[in-house]
Amino acid sequence: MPSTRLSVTGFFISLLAIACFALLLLAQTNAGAKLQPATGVIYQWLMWLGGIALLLGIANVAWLHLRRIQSGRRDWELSLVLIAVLAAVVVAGLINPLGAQGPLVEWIFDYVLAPGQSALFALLVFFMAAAAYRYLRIGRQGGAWMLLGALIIILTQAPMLVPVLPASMVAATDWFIDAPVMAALRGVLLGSGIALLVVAIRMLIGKA
Amino acid sequence: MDFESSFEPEDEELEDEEQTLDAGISAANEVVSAPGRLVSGVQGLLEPIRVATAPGEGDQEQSPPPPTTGYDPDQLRRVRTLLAEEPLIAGATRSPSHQQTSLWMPWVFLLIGVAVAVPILFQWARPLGQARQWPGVAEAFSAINRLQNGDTVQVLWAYDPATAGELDLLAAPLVQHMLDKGARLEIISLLPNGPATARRLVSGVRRIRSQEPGITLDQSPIDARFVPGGAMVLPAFGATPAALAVVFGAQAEDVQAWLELVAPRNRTPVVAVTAAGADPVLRPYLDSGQLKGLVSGFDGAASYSRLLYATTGQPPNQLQLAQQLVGQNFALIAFLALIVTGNLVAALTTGRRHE
Repeated sequence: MPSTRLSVTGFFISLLAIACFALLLLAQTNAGAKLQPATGVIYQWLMWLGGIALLLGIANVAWLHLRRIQSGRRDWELSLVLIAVLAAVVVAGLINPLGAQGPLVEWIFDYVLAPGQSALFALLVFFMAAAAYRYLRIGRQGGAWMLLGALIIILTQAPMLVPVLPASMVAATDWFIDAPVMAALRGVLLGSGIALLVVAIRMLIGKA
Repeated sequence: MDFESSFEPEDEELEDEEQTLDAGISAANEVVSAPGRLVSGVQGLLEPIRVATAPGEGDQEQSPPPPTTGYDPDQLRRVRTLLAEEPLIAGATRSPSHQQTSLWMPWVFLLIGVAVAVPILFQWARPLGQARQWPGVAEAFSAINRLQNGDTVQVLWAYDPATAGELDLLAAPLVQHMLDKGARLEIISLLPNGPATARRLVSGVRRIRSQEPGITLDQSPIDARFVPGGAMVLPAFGATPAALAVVFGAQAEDVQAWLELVAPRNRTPVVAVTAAGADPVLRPYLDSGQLKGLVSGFDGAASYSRLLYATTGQPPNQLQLAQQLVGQNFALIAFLALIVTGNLVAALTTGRRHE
C-alpha cells in the first residue's frame, strides 16, 4: 500500500528543488550578480542533465529498434537502416579528432540531413495550397471573413503587386495589422502569460 | 479505382456524412437521457464511478441495477454500433446526384510547384516588384551599425536546415554587417543542427567578402556551440556582458524565450531576425521597446540588403534573394488563382445542386 508520507530521500529532493527554485528566482532580481557563482553551477548541471537526457533518448531509440530487428517485426528493415545510419554517424564522429566537424559527419550533414530537412519543410507549401483551394470559400461558415483577410494580406504582401495597388489600400492593411491584429495578439500574449503564471502557482502550492 | 474520388472527400460528401452523424448523435442523446439527471445528453460525459481507495472496499457495495430506458435492446445496440463505427470517408461511394465539378488535387500541387520552381530553375530575376520595409528593419540596421570593432555579439541560432531556405537569406546580410563592423560572434544553438548551419553561413559570408578587394575579415574559427537542455538553460548566458544580442529564429518562441530569460539579466539590446510567420507575434515586443529591431521574411531581407548596399557595399546572396522574391510573387499569384478557382467551383456546384 503506497504511503502518503514523504520519504527521507523525497524530502531532501523536494528541499533541493525548492532551494534551486528560490535561488534562480532571486537571480532574476537585483541580487543576481551576487548569486552568480551558485546559479552558474545550477545552469551547468542543467546542461549536463540535458545532454544526458539526450543520450538516454538515443539509447532508448536504439534499444527499441534493436528489439524490433531481433524479433523480426513488421518493417524491421527500416529499423536496420536507422541503426546502421546511427552507428555510422556516431562512429564517424568518435574516430575523428574533429568530432562533429569531421569530413564524414559534415558530408552526411550536407548531403543527407540538410536536403532531407529542407525537402520535408518545403512540402508545407503544397498543403497550404490545398487548404487555400478547399477551405477559403465564401459559402463556409465564417469563410467570407477568412477569405477577405487572406486576400488582403496576400495582395499587399506580394512585392510585384504592392506598387500597383492604391496607396490607401496598403495603408488600410497596415492599420489593420497595427490596430486590430496587434490588439488581439497582445490580448493573447497577456492572457497566456497570466494563465501560465496561475498554473505555475497552482503547481507550486500543490493544487494542480 | 477512381483516383479522384478516393483522393479527397468532397464538401457535399462531408456535409452529408456530418448530417448523418448528427442524426445518429441526436438519436443516441435521446436514448441515453435518463429521467432524474441534473445534466444529460452531453457528448463524452460519462457517469461518475466510485473509485475504491482501499482493497476490498468495492466488494461490499452492490452494483446498481442497469438503467431502464424503455427502448428496445436491439434498437439500442444498433445506435451503439452506429456511433462506434469509424466514419468512412475516403472510400465512400457517391450517389449520382452528388457528382460535381472539381479540380483534381494534383493539378493544384503542380500549379504551386511550377510557380515556385520555374523562377528558381531558370534564374528569373524579374518581375521583382518592391519589397516593403516594415518598421524595425531600420532600427536593426542602426543597432548593428553602432557596433565597434571587437564588440561581442551574442547570437542565438534558433534555426536549422528545415527553415534555412528563408532564414539563410535573412541572416546573411546581418552576419555580413556584423563581420564588417569587426564584431566577435558568440553563437549558441538549442538545436543539434544549429551550429553546423551557423558555421556554413558565416564561412560562406566570409568567403564572399574576402574575394572583394580591400576587405579583410577575421578568419578565426567560428565559435558556435550546441547547448542541450532547452530554453531552461538560456539564463546562463545572461551573465555574460555583450554589446548586442541577435536571435535568428524560425519561430517567435525562441525570441520570446531570450527576451524573458536572458535580456532582463544582462540588459543587452536584442535584435530579432525571424521568419515572416513569426512577425505578428513579435511586433508588440518591438513596440514596447524590448526588441531594438525586427527583420522578418524575404521583405525584411530585401530591405536590410538595400540599407547595407547603400552604406557598406554589395550584400551577399543578391541573385538568390531576387529569385526568391520572384518565386514569392508567382506563388502568391498562384494562391490567388487557386482561391478564386475554389470559390468558382463551389459556386457552380451549389448552383447545379439547387437546379
